[in-house]
Amino acid sequence: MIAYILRRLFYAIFVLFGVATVVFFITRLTGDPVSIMLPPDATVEQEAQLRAALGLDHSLLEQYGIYLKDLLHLDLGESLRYQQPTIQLIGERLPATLQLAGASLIFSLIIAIPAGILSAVKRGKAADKGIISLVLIGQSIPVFWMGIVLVLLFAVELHWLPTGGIGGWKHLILPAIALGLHLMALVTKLLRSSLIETRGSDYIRTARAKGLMPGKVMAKHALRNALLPVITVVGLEIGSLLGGSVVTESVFAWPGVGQLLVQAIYNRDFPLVQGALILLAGIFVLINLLVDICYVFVDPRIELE
Amino acid sequence: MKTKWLVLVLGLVLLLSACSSSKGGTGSSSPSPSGSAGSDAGTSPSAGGSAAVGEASLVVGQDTDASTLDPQKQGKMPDMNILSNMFDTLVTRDADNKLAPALATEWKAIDDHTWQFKLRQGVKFHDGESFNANVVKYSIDRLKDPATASPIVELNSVKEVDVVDDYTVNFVTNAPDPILPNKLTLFGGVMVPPNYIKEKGDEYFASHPVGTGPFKFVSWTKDNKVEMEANADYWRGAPKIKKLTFRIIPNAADMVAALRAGEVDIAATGINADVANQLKNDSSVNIVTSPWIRTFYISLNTSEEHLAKKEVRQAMNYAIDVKSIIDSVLGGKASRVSTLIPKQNFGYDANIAPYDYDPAKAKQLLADAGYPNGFTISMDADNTNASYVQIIAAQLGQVGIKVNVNLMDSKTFTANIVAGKASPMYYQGNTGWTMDALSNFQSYIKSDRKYNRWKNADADKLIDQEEQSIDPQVRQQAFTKLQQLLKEEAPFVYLYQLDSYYGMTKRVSWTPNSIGLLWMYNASVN
Repeated sequence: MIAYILRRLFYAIFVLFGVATVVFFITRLTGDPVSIMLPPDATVEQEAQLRAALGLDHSLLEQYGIYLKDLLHLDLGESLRYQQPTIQLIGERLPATLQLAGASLIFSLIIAIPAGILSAVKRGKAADKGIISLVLIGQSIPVFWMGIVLVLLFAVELHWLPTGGIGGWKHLILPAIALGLHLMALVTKLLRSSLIETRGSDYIRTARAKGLMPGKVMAKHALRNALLPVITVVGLEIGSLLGGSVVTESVFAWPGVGQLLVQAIYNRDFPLVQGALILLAGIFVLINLLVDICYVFVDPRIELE
Repeated sequence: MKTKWLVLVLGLVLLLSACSSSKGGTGSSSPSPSGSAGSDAGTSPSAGGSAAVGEASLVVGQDTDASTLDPQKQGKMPDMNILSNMFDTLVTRDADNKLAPALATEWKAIDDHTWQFKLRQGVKFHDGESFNANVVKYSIDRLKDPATASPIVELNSVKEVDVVDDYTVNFVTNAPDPILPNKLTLFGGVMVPPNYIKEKGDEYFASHPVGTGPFKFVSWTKDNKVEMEANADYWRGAPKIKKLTFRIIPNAADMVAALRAGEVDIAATGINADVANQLKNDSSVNIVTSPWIRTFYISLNTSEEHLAKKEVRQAMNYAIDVKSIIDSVLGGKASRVSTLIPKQNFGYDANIAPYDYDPAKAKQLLADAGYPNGFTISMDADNTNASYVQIIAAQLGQVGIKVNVNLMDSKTFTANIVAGKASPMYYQGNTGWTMDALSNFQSYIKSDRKYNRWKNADADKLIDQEEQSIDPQVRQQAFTKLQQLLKEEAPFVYLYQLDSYYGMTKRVSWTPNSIGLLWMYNASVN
């Protein structure tokens, strides 16, 4: 197990190196940050001065070398716009993003798991049909549109909740719903089909034949097995929640890493874009690893070698 | 059945999110406002944590946060909007846009290279430090120190500041600077506290600013809000607003929603003619427009084959029906300009009439230039200006000039212009915030300037005159001749100056200014 984790961590470094390289060169394709950092009437000397101060006067390969060297020292550089360490800026915003992703995850699971079970148990009945229709709607509505509709209804018309920004718990509700909707639909559908399949298997029939209570059969035998694919998907989708927060954070003026990243891209703030993306990629890799490790505890058939 | 579920689930989500937010370090230096809100779930009509709580509190919304709260390390309006409420400048503008005393009480040019400023006595920074001549010297020295890496460029002309006595300073310039007092009304004119910065360091100052302004800093959550409270000892007298908050709302639709929900009292961005039309029937919101100094034009690259001909450039000016664009697309909230200078700025000459709309003449001029069947050309524009640019392109099409419009995001658009990679035509706005035509012309007209796309020896001479003389009459003459030349040679297509739009809740009273600065000292709420 330890060997497995170490091996995976070793691979993760390669993945992050790849991300770092791609991000470095892609940001350089977007243009010159100096041109938009100075006012239009800046002189050529001032531009040259700023370019030198930012290290942008070196050749591209030199810049790449410096960047990789800094990265090895875990130095993600300093933001061009804020003139503060990138890691500090991201660190300031990360709690807001994690809070939003966490709330979305909880929201979607709390609805999806009962809905999935109900839908599987009442297969073909009205409740199932209703749930499946809602799932379809949930999967097809774009986050930004849902966000705007929620704001118009609950904030502008009803005045129950704030339109955006961060503050108390009330600020969290609408963005969490908008962001969690896709995952909720996905998990409901997946759990439904997984449960239907499991319920048709021999060991369930055996359990029933033993005279176990239907509730116990469901909880102990069917659900436990049916949850395996759900855990995989939820694990992978946590990454999407963090990535999806880029859109949600923009719609709800939520000051997290997503909004920071969008602003950084607009401002050609290379170190900040690089730092934020490397960090998000790192989280993604870490979550995948955790999902794999979780299997061992959920499914005794799996051993990680 | 289903509603029961929903209620249960929502309840759980609320509970969980409440737990997580009480721990949640959001990077804010402020105490969390959620503590007291926890008990009134869903019952209070003003749900926004930062929404207008007390009567004398005001929330202003804009789309961009300050990049820093160190006034000498920024050079853009969104930063200045926030900072102008905590800091004062040496000079300011009155309601008629005339230069007016602020931290300096009077000023005069004592020779071609020296401006003398008398300073206000008895002014104190929020931490008690006194304002005097040494503060001015320190502020300008710090601004010009390469270690500060200030993006503020307009004080390049200043060589040094000499302290004459406790309340008199001389600004010595490298070359004559006729508009130095104008330049001290915004960015470069901000005064910072020497002892506080020396004691606490630059970094601390940038997140805990101390100024002499009408409001004192309270807290800043980046990309979310800046909170301030009234400075009761302000030298103009305490402001009527007791608590001032700047909310950062990048998305225009969200800004309108926040305004309609009453979370934002003044929406300074996100409102335009379309939105104003939608909000016409909303009884809770006032749409206020105000004359602004931003002029719009199309820059023409006169080294391009077609645009090298004066007739073609004139034809373009005749071909566009600016008045109908103003009436139909801009809701009448704009005025026609004859060149690049807005009406309010020094140097504007009302005797120079704009081009008439005359498509027949445009066709004739095109034929004279050798293009009776027109030609095809491309034009760049920021995608937020799409609707205007498309009408302009269509009108040029009617006289035979087929315009391919390239829409792009504003930063790419600007970067292309700076890099000299823009199309032969681009649609651009210009805000000369010094309110002197010098600023409207400086980067464009003289041959050696950054964005110059038209070379003319007469224009170069006239620019030297208005930039190097401190005699207003000499300068006005030069400006008048420049405008005549610009109209005749038509190196630009001249369009309009826009009004600025603000959405305000009914309880607010605040008068916008021509520069568009969100200075809230004079604001009040009912």
